[in-house]
Amino acid sequence: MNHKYKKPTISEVDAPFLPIKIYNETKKFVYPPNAAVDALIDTGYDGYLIIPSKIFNDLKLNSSRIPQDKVLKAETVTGDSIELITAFGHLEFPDLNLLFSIEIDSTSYCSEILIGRQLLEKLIINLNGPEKTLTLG
Amino acid sequence: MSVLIREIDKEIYAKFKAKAIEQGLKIGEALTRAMIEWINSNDTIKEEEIESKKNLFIYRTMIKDLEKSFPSKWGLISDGKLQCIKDTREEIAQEIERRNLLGRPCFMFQIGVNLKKRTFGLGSRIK
Repeated sequence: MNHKYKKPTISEVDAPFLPIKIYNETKKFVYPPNAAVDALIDTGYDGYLIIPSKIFNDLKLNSSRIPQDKVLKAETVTGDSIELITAFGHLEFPDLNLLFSIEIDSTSYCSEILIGRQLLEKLIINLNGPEKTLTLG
Repeated sequence: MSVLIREIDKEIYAKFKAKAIEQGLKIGEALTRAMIEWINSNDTIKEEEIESKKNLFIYRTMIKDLEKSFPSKWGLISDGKLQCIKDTREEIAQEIERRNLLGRPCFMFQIGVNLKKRTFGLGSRIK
C-alpha cells in the first residue's frame, strides 16, 4: 500500500505519514471514531507512539496508565528532560488489518501524532524519496 | 440577578455570543451553563488527581513486596488499592472492564519490568 508524503504541521518539507487508528486498552474507545488519522513517522523519537494530551484523555488512557515511577523522564537532544505520561493501548494499521499492543506516550509538548522507532521495528517500510511515497509491506 | 463583568476578551465574547444565538439562548443562560460545566470539570480533575496520588502511594508502598512475590505478573491499582494480580495484560484489560473502572484513574503494570527510557533526537517533532 502506497502513501504519498504530506506536509507536517511545523515543517515546510513533505514527510512520510501512515494512516492509523488508536484504541484504548479495553478497545472500547477508538481515535478517530471513523476512518483513520495520519501519523507522522519520526525517527528522532524512540518510543512507539506519542499523542497530544487531548487524544490521550478522550481515549480514557488514564485507566491503563503506567505508574510514573516506571516511566523515566524523556531526554531531548539538547539534554532537556520532558515528563511523559504513558499508558497501555493498541494501534491499528487499517490498510493491513494489523493491530499492535503498544505503550502510548503523551506530553503537553506534543501537538501531532508521531510514530517512533520502537513501532517502526515491527514494520517493513520502504521510503521512496524521489517519488515522495511510503510503501508499507 | 444582574452582574457587571469587566475585562472580557472581545473576540471570545463575540464567539460566545454567536454560539448562544445559534442555540437560541440568552447570554445569561448560556453563561450560566458554561459556568456550571467549568465548575464541574474542575471538580472532576481535582478528584482524579487525588485518586491518582492515592494510587501512586499504594504502588510505592507495595511494589517491593510485589516484586518478591509476583515477579513478571501484571498488577492493577485503582481507587487507592491493589485490585488484582493477573498473568497477562489481556486479563488486566478484562478486569478494568469487569470492575467498571474505565474512565477512572488506574495504574496497570508488569511487576519488575520497567519501560525503556525515551529520547527525542535530532529530527524529532517534540519541541
